[in-house]
Amino acid sequence: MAQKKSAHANIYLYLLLFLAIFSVLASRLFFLQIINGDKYQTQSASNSLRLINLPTKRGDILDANGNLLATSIPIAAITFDTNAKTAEKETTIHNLAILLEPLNYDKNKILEVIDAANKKGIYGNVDIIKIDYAQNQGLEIIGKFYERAKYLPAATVNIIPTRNYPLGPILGNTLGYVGSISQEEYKGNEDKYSLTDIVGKLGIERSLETFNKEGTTLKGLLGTKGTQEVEIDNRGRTVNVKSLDNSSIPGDNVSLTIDVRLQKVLEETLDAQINLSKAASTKAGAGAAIAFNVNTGEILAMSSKPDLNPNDFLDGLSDEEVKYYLENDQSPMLNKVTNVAYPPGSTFKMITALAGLHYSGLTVEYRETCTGIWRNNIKCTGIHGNINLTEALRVSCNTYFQSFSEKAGIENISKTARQFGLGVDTGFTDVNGVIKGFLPTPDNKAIFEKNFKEGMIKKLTEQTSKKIVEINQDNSLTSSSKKEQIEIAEQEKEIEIAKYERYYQENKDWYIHDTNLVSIGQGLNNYSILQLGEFASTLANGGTRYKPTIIKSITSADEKSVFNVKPIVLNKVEMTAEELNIVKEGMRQVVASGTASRIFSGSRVAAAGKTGTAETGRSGDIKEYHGLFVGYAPYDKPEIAVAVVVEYAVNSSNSAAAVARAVFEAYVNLKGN
Amino acid sequence: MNKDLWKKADWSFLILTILLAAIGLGLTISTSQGLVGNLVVKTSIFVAIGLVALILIASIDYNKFSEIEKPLYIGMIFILVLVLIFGVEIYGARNWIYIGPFSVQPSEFSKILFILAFGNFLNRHYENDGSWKSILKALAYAVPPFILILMEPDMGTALVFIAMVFGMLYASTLNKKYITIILVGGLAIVVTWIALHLSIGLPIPLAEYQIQRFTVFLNPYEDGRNGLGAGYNIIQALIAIGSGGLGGKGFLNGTQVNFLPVKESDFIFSVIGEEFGFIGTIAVLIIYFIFLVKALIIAHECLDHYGYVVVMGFISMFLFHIVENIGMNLSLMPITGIPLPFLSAAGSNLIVNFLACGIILNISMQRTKVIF
Repeated sequence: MAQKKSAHANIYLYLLLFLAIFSVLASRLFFLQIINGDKYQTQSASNSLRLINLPTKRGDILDANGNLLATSIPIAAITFDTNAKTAEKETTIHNLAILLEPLNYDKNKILEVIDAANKKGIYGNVDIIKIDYAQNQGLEIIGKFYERAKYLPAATVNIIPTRNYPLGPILGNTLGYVGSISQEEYKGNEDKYSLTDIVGKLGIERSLETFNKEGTTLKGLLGTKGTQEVEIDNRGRTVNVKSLDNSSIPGDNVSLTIDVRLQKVLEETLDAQINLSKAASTKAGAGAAIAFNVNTGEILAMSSKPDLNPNDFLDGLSDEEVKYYLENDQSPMLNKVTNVAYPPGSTFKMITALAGLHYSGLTVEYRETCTGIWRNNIKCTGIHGNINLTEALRVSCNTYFQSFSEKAGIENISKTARQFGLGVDTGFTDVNGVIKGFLPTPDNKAIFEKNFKEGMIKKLTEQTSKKIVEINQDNSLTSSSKKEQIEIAEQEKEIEIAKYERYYQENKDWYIHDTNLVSIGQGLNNYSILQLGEFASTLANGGTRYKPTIIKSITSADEKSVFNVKPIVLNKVEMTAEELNIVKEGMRQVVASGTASRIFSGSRVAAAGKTGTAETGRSGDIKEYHGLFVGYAPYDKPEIAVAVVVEYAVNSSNSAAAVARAVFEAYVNLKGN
Repeated sequence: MNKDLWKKADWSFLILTILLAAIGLGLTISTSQGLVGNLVVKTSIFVAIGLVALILIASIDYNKFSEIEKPLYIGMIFILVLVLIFGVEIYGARNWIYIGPFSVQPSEFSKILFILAFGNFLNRHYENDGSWKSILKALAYAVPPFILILMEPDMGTALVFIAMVFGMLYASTLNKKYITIILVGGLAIVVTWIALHLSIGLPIPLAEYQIQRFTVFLNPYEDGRNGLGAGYNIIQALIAIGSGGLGGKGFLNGTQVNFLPVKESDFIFSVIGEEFGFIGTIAVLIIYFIFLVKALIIAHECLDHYGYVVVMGFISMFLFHIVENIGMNLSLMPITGIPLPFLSAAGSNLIVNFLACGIILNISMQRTKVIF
């Protein structure tokens, strides 16, 4: 069996080989660990440490009396990774059961939750429990979680500060809502945000996301994130929390000038009038209203219908909600107080009156005889006979104001309108997308008509080009018939262009007819309800135009820093008190015995106002009207002014006036309490 | 008989084996982040099974294996075919068979079967003519298991086979000059081929990720993703080992190794480097060195050629595992994912290592003439 040993190779050769190999390994180790040890230690230190952002609490939004309109509930979700290794999962469930014992969770309960999620088809990260960590116990449990993170290898904590709007749709459109940051919003703001942040998307949530004012340390709703160094493992899980570097600073709280009690009355009555109108017209369903403190410019209530409930946007919209918000002709997303222009109708007549009184030497005793039609063209609401200015306002006589406007002149009318904030910047910056409206003048009429013509020609040209392409691609046609059809299309285009050209030539100039239309709030006149409210408020307080504001104050979370919004005067109108009083007397007559008297009869509030029934001016609408009302109360010592529109109102201006009456009465009632 | 034999065993070799296994067991506590969890328990069970296997196999006269060369070879082919049919696919390779709660890696066990069978094959041709023909015959003997392992594919074990085959060929009586020509020539072809692939795109019948795993150690930061792709593991291993410095960060204080996947197996040496520093890594190298030298002495004291070739096969196997695994951790060798003997928490490999040591131990018992 045994063979010669001589066949064995030289053992020393092998020893030498081993020594050589192990020397290479040892010298490499010497190079890595001794010579370059420091370098790798630095790399190692930065490798496992991460600076994490500590979430901050978004500021609350409150009404003038401290009622919560928007708040944040900090929620911590403990999630479980069902794809983790079996050993990790077992350890995690065991330790989670101990951690969550105070909340009556045991192993079986945790397994049930995971099972239920799996049955729903949720794998990977399953939410085990959501904890409100603003509560003492919640904070304690989350704190313990972080301490024991390495014993919970298959679990993670996600902090989800959840926005909540306790009043739901009340003021919803103006409050706006929050949502996940978009790429566009993130770009350029990397220092402030991370890609998983929640930001204000609309309304006050958006405009007060950040706040910059010299002399204050206030920063807006967002707040400042804290930072903390944590040690993480190769899967990005926190294994050790280092000391706190910077604690987070909660966002500032914002108090609004809104009185929720008044707001509710305004919304309820506006809803009621819209619902009545909906029964009569399929186009009805929208409306808007605003109430001002006439002596400060503070907005006491404002509403745009249909409703927007900010809570709907928190978890993403359901299919039904997408349909409601995004595929709805009534555009609930649009703030109809600030971002939509309406023809003012007869509510504009005070401007015409004031222009004539102040600039053209006309008096209240300027008289005109109404026969029911002016210049054989514009019909009046009735046959009013020979009347003066007050009477004309009371009955809203078109003929009278058309006559008046020809004496006053368009320049003076537009000059007056601008002083009341119509067709100019409103100064309102608390929500986004506030419009300027459109005040027609000879200059901008020409521009408007030119733009209109060019827009239509562009559209026509595109349509024709498309048509020609289609003809060319139609293989069923012979080349000669193609040519023929193209020629026809070109000719049709030329005819249409000629039509728009002729229309432009006819309309580019300012005619007396245009002045007549403007004087009664028709034609190209278009203003937001905010502007009409600003106009009514300025008229009511004797000619001081305040900057509208919905923000009363901004307060830091620790209440050490407060910024109070003070009334800002934008301008004073040039009209004298006497001139204003003539118009205001007319407005009082409107409510007492004129066009709004039926609605206001029996009201304990002595108000003044002006109705408006404006042709919608929307394409396809023939003889269809929005109901408008502007007014203030009490008429002798005004405190509150309103502007209301009910689209396609069933009772025209009465629908709007009914809202105004309810708001006035609620205001007086609240004041009395 | 047994008692007498055990008295003659090389006890220092057994102690080294147990020492290595104990270090390995201790490291599982480290890689479990201080928790006495599943991995520690599992590894303890494997060590216990391994020790029993060692004692059992060490009690069998190794010469018995030379009598059953054919069954050993057929058994080896059988388990390698079995894994291709019933194996469970993990990360694209069919390496594992599940037996109850344990997963078994047949290619690991095939190494022992091969060494025992191939040792006898070489022994049968003890007094050969030293011709090319006999060398080629010997290589042909190794081709079937090699191909089957490549089919899984298990590149690492296939490389171990090459190391074992050549280690044993050199221990045999075949013509050393021819063996050297084949070995150097083969290496030259492979290196040239890879170089040509990288420079002029000569095709290689391997997936791109496999090639990259093979070449990225040359420059881990140039893996196409700034060190976050194929080079990531190497970079993290280097940082882990380097940051250990002279004395290491201390037991359970390693943080960097958490960035390494399969740190408990492929990258266990990085854990040692980070937690025990240069002192720890050199200590491990010294233990391995003594372990291999001890085996070398046993081989040389063996009286018969079969025992000698078998031990040299095991030495080749261990040496290749050690050099390749540590070399990979140190960015000196390509990434293959073969375990570090006794230190990696890899069940099948651990038992195979115990079995190998058991056989070596039995050979050590018979180094002086024993009267049967």
